[in-house]
Amino acid sequence: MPCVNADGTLVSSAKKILEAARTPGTPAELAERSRFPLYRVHSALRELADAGMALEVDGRYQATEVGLDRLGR
Amino acid sequence: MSTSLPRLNEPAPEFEAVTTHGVVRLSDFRDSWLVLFSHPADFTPVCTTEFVAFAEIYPELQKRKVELLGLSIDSVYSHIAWMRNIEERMKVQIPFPIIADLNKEVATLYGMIMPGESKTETSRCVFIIDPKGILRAMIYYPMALGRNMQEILRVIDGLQTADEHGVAVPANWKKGDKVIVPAPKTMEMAAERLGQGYECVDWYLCKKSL
Repeated sequence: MPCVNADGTLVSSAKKILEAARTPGTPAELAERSRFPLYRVHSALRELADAGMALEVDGRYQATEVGLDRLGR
Repeated sequence: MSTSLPRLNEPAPEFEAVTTHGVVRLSDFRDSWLVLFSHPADFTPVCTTEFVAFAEIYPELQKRKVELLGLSIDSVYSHIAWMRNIEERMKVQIPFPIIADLNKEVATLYGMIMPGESKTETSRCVFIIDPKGILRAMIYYPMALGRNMQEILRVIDGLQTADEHGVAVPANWKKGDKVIVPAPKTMEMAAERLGQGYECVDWYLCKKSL
């Protein structure tokens, strides 16, 4: 899983994107907040959502409790 | 092996692929322009010069809201090793993702394999896809010929100018040159065209500055 290192920690890009999702946002908003290209945000959000670390509601993504735990709150 | 090609002005075929930046889908690039390009193989000389050249025009592409996405029939490990080698040897960081198309899925979908050249490698193909996911231009180069980056920038400038202003661009056009006013479609429009203040050779060939 490209968002997660072998030791279970999040790779830095995933961490920044998840940080940006502490407040709900569309992928475009999260791209602006995290300063990553939109395609990378789409790709990372898919993985983070599959892993239960982010949740999508009506096109907006937010870090879940699991995600916040991984960020160390 | 399928040798079908995608068609201009039709939706570019959707895909999901493993890249050096993770798993991406074509639809992830929606809302920006995309240059999807293939190269024959990692660690080969012409391809290396092309990757350095693509990295050099990347800032210009970003100004035009264009992303780059490379592809070859190599593994992601090979791509990573090659990118690291380019950075180490040439001090050039490759800022865009590269598809590891080992099963040739995307290459087949886009007609990137020219069996007359090679049955196992992709030719030097360039697909320019607009923010709505429509395939707007295709350029194919043979394996022995490295691509011209200025031409790729020129094609993007031409398409963006044509879209923004509803015009066409003439041969050898470059940004800042006069553009072509679309030809009249009726006798009435043809008669009126000459009095509209354009620079006209005749009713069907008129230019204007933007």
